[in-house]
Amino acid sequence: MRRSDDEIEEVDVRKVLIPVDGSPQSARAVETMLDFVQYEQIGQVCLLNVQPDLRPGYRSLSALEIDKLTQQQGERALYDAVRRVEAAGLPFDTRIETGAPAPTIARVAEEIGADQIFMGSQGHGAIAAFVLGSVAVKTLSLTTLPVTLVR
Amino acid sequence: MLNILVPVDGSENARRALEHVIGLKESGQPIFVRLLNVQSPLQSKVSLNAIASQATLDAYFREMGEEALAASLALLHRAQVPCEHAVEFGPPAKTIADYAQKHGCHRIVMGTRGMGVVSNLVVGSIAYQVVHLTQLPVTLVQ
Repeated sequence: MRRSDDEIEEVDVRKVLIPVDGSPQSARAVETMLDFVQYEQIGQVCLLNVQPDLRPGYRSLSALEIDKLTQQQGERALYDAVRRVEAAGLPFDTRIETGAPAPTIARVAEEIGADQIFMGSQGHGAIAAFVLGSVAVKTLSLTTLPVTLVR
Repeated sequence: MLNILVPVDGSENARRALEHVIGLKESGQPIFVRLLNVQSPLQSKVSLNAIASQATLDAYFREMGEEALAASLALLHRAQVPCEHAVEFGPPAKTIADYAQKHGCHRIVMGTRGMGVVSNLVVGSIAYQVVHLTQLPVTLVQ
């Protein structure tokens, strides 16, 4: 029994979560992850975009239209990062989630069993940009994973 | 060769940061670790100067620094990770950022205080200051 557990452990792919908002900082977080990918033995990348909840501001839109809009915005934000990771030949997937950035980042990290997080030390949303690193600060308080902050 | 700065203060979280770095060696890629302990005795020096010479104090704080580094050095030696170590004097965050720049480090890996409920990267904490003082990626290990 013990042995098979160990074997499963060995083939376990190391996962990194990168929150991406389309900002130069998140682009640099992707670059930095690629710089360290061999050292960190990263085998799987999850690119996460967190969209604000559009429902309160767009009452006239249907749930379907809101979903479509959110999806479009998310794909736009992820576009460059996806191309970059694809070009590097790394296995990856993308996720577009709705909600507050830091709790969503921490939740997805847990859901996918991430081993670590690479993220910009600033950015992630217009309001957050004024408060230096607030998303990074909050994320760190919500996860016990190693977090690499990139300028 | 990946040149990594690991600031060490003898705490549990600093040790975990070092373990993360030692784990990078498993990849087979070459790494070089610079261990740094920062002593900030400036305030105490003022009062202590009345009873001890500067040279005595410097020697004392250097010894404190070496002591804080000892366990980490032993870990690196056991893992056969090439390294250098240093004790520097000054304000912690600025000294860490300057040291990384001066020695061409590629990244900084450091521990944050494991406070649990409270943010580990509170404004004013050393880790927070380092992140804002350096252009290098900073990995925070909790």
